[in-house]
Amino acid sequence: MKEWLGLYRQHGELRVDGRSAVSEIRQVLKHIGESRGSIFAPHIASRLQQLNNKRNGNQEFRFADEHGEPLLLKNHPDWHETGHRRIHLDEVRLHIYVVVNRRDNIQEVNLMVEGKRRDTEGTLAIAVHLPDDQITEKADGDRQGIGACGHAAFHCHVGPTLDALPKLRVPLPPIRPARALEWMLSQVVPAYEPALWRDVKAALKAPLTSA
Amino acid sequence: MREATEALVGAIERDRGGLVIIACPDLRLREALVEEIESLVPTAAQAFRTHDVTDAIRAYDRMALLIPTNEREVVLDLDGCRDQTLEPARTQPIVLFLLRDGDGFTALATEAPSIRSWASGNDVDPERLAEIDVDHERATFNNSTGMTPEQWLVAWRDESTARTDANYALAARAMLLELK
Repeated sequence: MKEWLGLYRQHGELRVDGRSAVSEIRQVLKHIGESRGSIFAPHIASRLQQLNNKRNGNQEFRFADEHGEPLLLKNHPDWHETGHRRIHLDEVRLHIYVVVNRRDNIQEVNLMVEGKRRDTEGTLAIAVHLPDDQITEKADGDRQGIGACGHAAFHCHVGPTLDALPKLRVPLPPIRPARALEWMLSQVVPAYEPALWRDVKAALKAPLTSA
Repeated sequence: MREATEALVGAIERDRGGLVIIACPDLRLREALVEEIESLVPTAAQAFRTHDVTDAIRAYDRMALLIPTNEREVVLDLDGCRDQTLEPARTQPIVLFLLRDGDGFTALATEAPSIRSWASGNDVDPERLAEIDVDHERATFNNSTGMTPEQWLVAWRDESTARTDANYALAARAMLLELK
């Protein structure tokens, strides 16, 4: 149990500096928006919209168009593993929801990319969740699942839908939500790989301080 | 409702070489707003942080994020240096961060009104713009789900609600509106 407890604590530490976490997510969107042949318009980061509730101090950040609907990815390239078969995805949408509380802690993060597969006419959903985890009147608080292994606080899902069985939850390492967004997008568009092996190799060769 | 982030971007883009004033509720949110702008503006703008008016004016082709240590002094310095921003003509704005209830806004109103006209409507209070009408939003939530946000969240937290994209959107909204 010791390592799961350690991971749970590390996931808890991800919740600090909520507003900075939102800006880091915007930086990822900006970087992709500025890249050639992007799936986003250049100013897409401004579509991560903010709402404040002055009474409870909570803030909601939602990636949406002017009607509040999830944004459709433009110029979406075929999803493919380099050198292997391609999968066409249509109507690819990116969902981002972050709730930050009065203490600037992240209450909840939900990231999801979903699309329709042209080959099977089914759907594909990849999601990253850091669910609400506040101690309430319940014995286990509002934590989900029955434990920190099977339902690690920060986890991902990959499947036709989020409710499809078997409903697997894969624990994520304690990376910031923006890094998880990079991971998720790199699964759909390999060209958005943020840590190319050639760069990793160069960094490994460099002195430790500059790696 | 006016979108806070779009308003922020609009104020920065409206007048490429002008002055933008960002109202900040407190020092913590000032830092958050500086980070937000850094995450929004194009990389080509080469945004940089400074406390100093001279630095901000000298870098005419870079976006200066002017974060005063002494707000009144910075406002008065800007008032005295405005001519220096005309030649060479700025290609990127100066973005001035002032505390909503601080000395900077007092100085703008009483000692340097021309600065306010320089900003000419490019002043924005994004945190205030983002504030919702809580009663209206709770009523809207109730009308669309038949439940209060608290009732809806009980089922969500018990995992008896389907994990669909629509329900994730509702969960975020319910947490925004939850009574504490």
